[in-house]
Amino acid sequence: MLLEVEELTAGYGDIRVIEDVSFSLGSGELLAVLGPNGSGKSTLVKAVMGLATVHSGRILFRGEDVTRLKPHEKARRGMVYVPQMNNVFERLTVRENLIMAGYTIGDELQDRIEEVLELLPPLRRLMGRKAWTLSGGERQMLALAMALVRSPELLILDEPTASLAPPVAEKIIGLIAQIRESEDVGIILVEQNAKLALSISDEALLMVSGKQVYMGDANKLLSRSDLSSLYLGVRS
Amino acid sequence: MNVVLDALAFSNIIVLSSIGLTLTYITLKVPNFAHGDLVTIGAYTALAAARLLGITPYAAIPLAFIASGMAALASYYLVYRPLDRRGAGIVTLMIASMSTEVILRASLHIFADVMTTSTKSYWRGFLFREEGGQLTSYIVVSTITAILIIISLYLFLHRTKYGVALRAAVENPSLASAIGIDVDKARAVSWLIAGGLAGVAGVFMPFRTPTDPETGWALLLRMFAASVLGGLDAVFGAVIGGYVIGLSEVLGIYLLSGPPLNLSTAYRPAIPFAILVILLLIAPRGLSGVEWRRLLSRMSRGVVRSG
Ligand SMILES: Nc1ncnc2c1ncn2[C@@H]1O[C@H](COP(=O)(O)OP(=O)(O)O)[C@@H](O)[C@H]1O
Ligand SMILES: [Mg+2]
Repeated sequence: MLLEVEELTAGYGDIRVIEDVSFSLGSGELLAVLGPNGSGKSTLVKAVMGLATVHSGRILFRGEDVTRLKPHEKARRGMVYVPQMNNVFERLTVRENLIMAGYTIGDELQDRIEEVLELLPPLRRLMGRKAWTLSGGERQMLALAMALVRSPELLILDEPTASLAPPVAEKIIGLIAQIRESEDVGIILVEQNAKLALSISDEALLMVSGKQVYMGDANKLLSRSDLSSLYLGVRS
Repeated sequence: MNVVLDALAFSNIIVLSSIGLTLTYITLKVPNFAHGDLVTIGAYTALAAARLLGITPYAAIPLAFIASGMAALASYYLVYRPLDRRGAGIVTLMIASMSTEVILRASLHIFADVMTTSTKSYWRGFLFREEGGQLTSYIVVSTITAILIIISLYLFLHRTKYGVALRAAVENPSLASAIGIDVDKARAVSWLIAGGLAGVAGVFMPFRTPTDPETGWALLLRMFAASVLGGLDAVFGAVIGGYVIGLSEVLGIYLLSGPPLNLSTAYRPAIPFAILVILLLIAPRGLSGVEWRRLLSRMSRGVVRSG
């Protein structure tokens, strides 16, 4: 198993935001994390990455207990996280952002950046631009590229389509599906847009008020009319 | 002519110290009130090196960098990092910063007294005099030093991987740590560099002003002004801010105190702040926050209006 999360309770300082969340993810799988605003989706992935306080529970990465590791130590093991907000370095150029993303990579960095640009060609003509001048879609693309440069084994994406126009959002989701095909990677995709996310996921985790109310097959979640109409804004 | 050179020398000191002030500000978003005392530490290091080791103040520049750099690093590790880890807010950090300032300045007073009694020479109100009555060589040296430091800092921060990582870590610590940068170390390096540059600035201070344990502290407001003017989140904005503040104070007092106005020189410190307030009303985020290209194109079309 790539990632195992066991009865995770986490929050910020003394505050508990999520309680008793458990799931596992294999390599090559895509897990959608769904739920209304404020239900604790971001807190869950931050806790996995070591950016929120873990009160109890365990996080295993490739069988190793990484619960107490610092974010940069997890990053060096192949866990890659793209935050919901502030996911690029605004004051750095696109090129500098990609170089930074590959901070822990040695000589292969240039080749790796080249490979990623093959997958995301629109970035090529933006290399010299400061990141704060990019459009929303270009920014998300850069954030994705930064994640891919590092050949992740686990890729955690927190709402990569938030505040994007629908066609751009679909394009980003298409790219994520493509990444999943071409790279040997497990993906956790946090999404508001349940329908879009479930269209490319194997499994789904539904969070409501910090608690896990569904964990299992992505398609079956859509057929649970009680959950899907209440929390996912999807009509069946 | 001499006034211009003196203004330049004063500005070099302000520039070198405000770069560091900005650098530490962006790491923790707290103004370091002890930054002026780091400048004084540099001055005293040069004095101690001159008196005890018999080397020239210029040769003591690396020592001053190390001494003030270590003092800054110590305050980061002993004060700011523990507080930051406990989730201290900006007010707590600021009060801690003021307390650190008082402690450092008191230590400088104790040091000056101890040295005065033990070496039977004055360690207060001291000046560095140059051989042969040449008053201007320090102006040349401080200008060259400032230029070299600005260029090397630029190259370090923009052309080396570690420098870019430092910028990344101070801009967005959580993203930086998520991509494997050791943010804590990057912050420590920023504090070391910031303190070091203040120390270098301090070496030049006694060439111009009789120096005692309060001298750097008295300059702090000018450094703040330079940093704010340059834009508190832009390291190289402090360079421009420092020259504007330094030149305006020295040249301004020269013009205002002479005929026809003959104003008292007691107004001197007000000049850079008056300029600061006016410039901030025009550019609230500091000079680096101005969209120069848009402003220039608007000006060239002649559509700039007040407000
Ligand atoms: N840094 C923080 N400190 C304290 N509480 C927070 C912090 N970030 C988020 N929260 C709280 O945690 C809850 C869940 O937030 P979040 O995980 O961002 O939800 P989601 O990503 O599902 O919208 C919210 O009530 C939010 O107010
Ligand atoms: Mg969220």
